[in-house]
Amino acid sequence: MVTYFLLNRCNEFSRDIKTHDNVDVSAMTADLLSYCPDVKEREKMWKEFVKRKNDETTEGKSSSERELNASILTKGDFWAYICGVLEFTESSYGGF
Amino acid sequence: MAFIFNTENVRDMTEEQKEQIIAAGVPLSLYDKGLMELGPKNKSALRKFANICTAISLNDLPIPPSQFIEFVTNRTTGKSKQDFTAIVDAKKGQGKSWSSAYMAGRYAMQIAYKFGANPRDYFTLENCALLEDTEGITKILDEADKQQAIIIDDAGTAIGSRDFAQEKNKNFNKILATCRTKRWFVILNVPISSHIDVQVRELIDANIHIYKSFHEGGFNLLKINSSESLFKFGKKKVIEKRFSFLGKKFDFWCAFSPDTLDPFKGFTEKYDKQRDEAANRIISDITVKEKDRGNPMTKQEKKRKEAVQKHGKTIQVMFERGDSARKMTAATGLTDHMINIVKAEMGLKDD
Repeated sequence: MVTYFLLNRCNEFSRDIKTHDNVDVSAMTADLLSYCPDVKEREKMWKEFVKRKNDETTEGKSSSERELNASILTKGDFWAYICGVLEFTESSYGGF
Repeated sequence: MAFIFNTENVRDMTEEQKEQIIAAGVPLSLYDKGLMELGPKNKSALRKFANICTAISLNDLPIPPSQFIEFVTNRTTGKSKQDFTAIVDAKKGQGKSWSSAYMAGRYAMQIAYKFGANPRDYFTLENCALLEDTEGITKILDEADKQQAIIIDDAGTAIGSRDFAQEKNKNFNKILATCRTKRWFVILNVPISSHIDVQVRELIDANIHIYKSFHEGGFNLLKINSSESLFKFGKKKVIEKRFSFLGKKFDFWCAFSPDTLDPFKGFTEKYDKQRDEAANRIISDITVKEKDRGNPMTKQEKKRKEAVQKHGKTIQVMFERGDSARKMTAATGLTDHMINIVKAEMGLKDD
């Protein structure tokens, strides 16, 4: 149930960000991250978002474009976190 | 013959060894802690691991440290007086005996490294019960010193689940349940673990399955699970869990041939020879038993046969000497009636 909800939330986020021109991307990202159950992980992802958004070394990109890219990448981080927690992509190890 | 590393002596790895490992395409990080990262848990993980094991085997690279063997060693030498028992199961010919011998050999080497002793003090061919019955196994256990590695090959012969209520199984269970202070590493081999007594199965610490055999590459891939008991609503359930070391759950384990271990060079040849002899012995024993089963003898017949075998010659000599029946009774302890029967069986007739 929780998995379905989170998947749905990520899907809605992608749809809204693509179809709406005048959206507050930062607010949408904050809204998405608010569903992260791990507080430390949430803060870490938010810091990373802010860092990416303010990264002026990215040439030829306007501030709004940077914000959008940062937001999409943060969604990727969130998704990777969910996959890790729910063991969607469990790593394998071998020993001798 | 490959050099064997553990998590301590791996720090002394020479530059030459490092170059050899890198040249063979084996990641050097594997040697730090004996942990091989295989990426996502899917079929290619197995293939990746098999490729690394093949590279180690074919290039005679040093064997990486083993978290599992060090765990067992720490357990049998630790403060809390514990031992370690494992069942290795696989179909016939998949290499369970060799894998067991490799684990026992590595265990002996690790324990010898710890105490500065000879690995052969902790594991030899004499510690292997090959197709032995319960008496043979208990004899080996009786003679084994502390912290030994012991292999009971084809344990179904001695402690089969079909003989569950027999005295021999009960005695073996008693030994296994109380031998903790001996600090042994006991490995029981069996084609399917359900073939051995349920009480033995419940007492073990680990289930080892031969997942895939790579005879040509000189190794087997194993799955090693800890065996744990859960109590829920007054009922007991035995579950298997993957062993975790360094916070990682290990999916596969590699067991090379015991011949790769320096102190146990030529082990497999001797082992196979001894096992062949044991197999021949067990086949002829069963043949005799089957023959007896086909021609059942009554108790009386058995008694007569025994009397003839045991006292036949004595009675014949005394008869020819002309001794009385009373003397024969005194010499043999048989009754008059039985002496007459023995005489008749041997064709000795009074004039």
